[in-house]
Amino acid sequence: MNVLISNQSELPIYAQIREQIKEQILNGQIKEGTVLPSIRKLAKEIGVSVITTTRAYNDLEEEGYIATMQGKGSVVLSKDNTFLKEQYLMRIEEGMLTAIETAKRIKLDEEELVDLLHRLWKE
Amino acid sequence: MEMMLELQGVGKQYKEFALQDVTVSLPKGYIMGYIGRNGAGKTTTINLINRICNPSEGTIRVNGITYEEDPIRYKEQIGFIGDESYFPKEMRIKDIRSILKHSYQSFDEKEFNQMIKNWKLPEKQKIEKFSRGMKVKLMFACTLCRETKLLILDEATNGLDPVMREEVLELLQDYIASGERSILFSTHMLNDLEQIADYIVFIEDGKIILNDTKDDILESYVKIKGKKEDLSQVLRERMIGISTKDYGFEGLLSTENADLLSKKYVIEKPNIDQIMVHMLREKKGGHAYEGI
Amino acid sequence: MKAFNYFKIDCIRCRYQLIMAFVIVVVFCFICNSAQQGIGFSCGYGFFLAVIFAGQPFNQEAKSESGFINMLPGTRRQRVIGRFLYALLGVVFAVVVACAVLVSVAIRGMEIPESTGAILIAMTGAALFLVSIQMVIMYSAGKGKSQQLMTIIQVVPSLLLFFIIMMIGTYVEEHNGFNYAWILENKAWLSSLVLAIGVLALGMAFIVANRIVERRDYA
Repeated sequence: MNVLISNQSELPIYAQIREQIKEQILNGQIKEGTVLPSIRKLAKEIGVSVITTTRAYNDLEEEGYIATMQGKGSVVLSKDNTFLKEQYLMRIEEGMLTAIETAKRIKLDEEELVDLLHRLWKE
Repeated sequence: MEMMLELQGVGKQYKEFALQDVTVSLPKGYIMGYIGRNGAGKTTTINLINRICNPSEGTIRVNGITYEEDPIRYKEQIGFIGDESYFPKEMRIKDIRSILKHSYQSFDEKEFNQMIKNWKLPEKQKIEKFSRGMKVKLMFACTLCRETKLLILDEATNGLDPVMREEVLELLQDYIASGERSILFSTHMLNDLEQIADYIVFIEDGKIILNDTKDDILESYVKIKGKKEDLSQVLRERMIGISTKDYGFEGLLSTENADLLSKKYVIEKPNIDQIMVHMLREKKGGHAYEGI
Repeated sequence: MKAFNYFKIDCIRCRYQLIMAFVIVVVFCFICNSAQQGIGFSCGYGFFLAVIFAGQPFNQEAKSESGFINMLPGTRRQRVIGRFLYALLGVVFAVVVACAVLVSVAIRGMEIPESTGAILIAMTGAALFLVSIQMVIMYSAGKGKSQQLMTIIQVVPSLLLFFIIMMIGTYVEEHNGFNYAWILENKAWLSSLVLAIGVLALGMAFIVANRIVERRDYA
């Protein structure tokens, strides 16, 4: 697991941690069933406050990526989780909306955009 | 959450200065930064917690007990890292070791000696000849080799080089790693200490003016800079601690007023020290300098 | 016991004064003795120094304040007890040296005046009395006062003792036979009375010192 935080980023630190872990779970770098480092250990490793890592883990738990069990730590949940699938769908939607917005700005019409989609899918 | 340190309505009256109604709680396992200007009341508060001075009013509990209930246990639980004049200057490490051995039940002599060796502290030299960094290391050795619950640092990192500061940060994080101990550090300038602080309490002129988690405070404000002509009346009223100079204005804005933000301003994330400066500036009168 | 701990700490801090006291008293007493200045004088000098000795820890504290010592887990009363034990050490030391002087005199076959015992007891009492006054003054003065004030305060009681002894000696010489006989007759209970006053004074000083310290801010 890699967590690199930047003080220059627009995102608050707990959000950076949350997003980076989320990303690595989503692209498989952190496998399901992995036990993440404890909140305190992570705080010490990356040099941030305990409340910050706590918040990141709480968010991840709320969004269904991890589950924390007393005494055992935080474990990454299975990707087949429907909750997770919803997260993925939301991501896809976001990407599509960005594409549509950009297309409209350069006056690309719907058909051309769908063609582009087909072409890219095949690659 | 169990509290490691509780100050309830603590007050202290001096001739020219008074600490008033200080109410602060620090839970077990967390770090609190106690910040304020020089003379704002930080050291007074710490002296009251250490019971070097007696409070005029209010109660102080460390790990649930007051000084009156059990003065010996109360003091044993506290570890203190202070400034240069902490140790009697004519003493040597062997004197300190002997005093520690006979004063604290949980003193681990082996561990103490190991730390002295690791940090290469000279046994034969009088403490007055130690460098600042060496004194700080000795203070840590005295505290870490016995059982304490609350570690208090009072301007402890002043005058330390960046390498030593880094070492101190690590020591502090190690201290709270188990979740059973807490740290209160007071300083007039946070710098890197801000990273590891969970809570921030800001004191000015004997009164607490801010008491919140560090993350929440950081999220509450943005720092904006802009051209003088872009400083609208609304903005001027809402901003905190504005400073107008020849080249433009700058100040803090609460994120509640995010509607006033726009691309014409330079927007940055402030750190706690900057938030403190702006709040003090606002308190003083809002405008540090008016350009032409 | 924690109070004994504080006594040891005062000893460590006043280490050099301890050594100096030892050297000065012993050497001086025996020099005086060989020059036959009078047993009373050579024994008495130790008591004079005991009073100065008792004030040394206050001097040390004034020179370098110590957070480390203030943070030690002990009550203020224990700290006061330790300080008084240190003061007593000076007096005990003076008694021991006086006895040593007497023993050396006896060994050499010289005569020991009959009233020596009573005089020693009286001197102990007087020393205790002056130490008590000094302790109260030192505690009242607090730690913020300048070192010069401390030195003056320290020297006055001990000089007082010195002059009292001198005056008594002169008075006794001048009024030979006047009240002298009565004093000699009653020397046993008179000297015991002085000792008792000294011990009582010390007890009272202890109570007063505690009251002062309990309320005070160290910083």
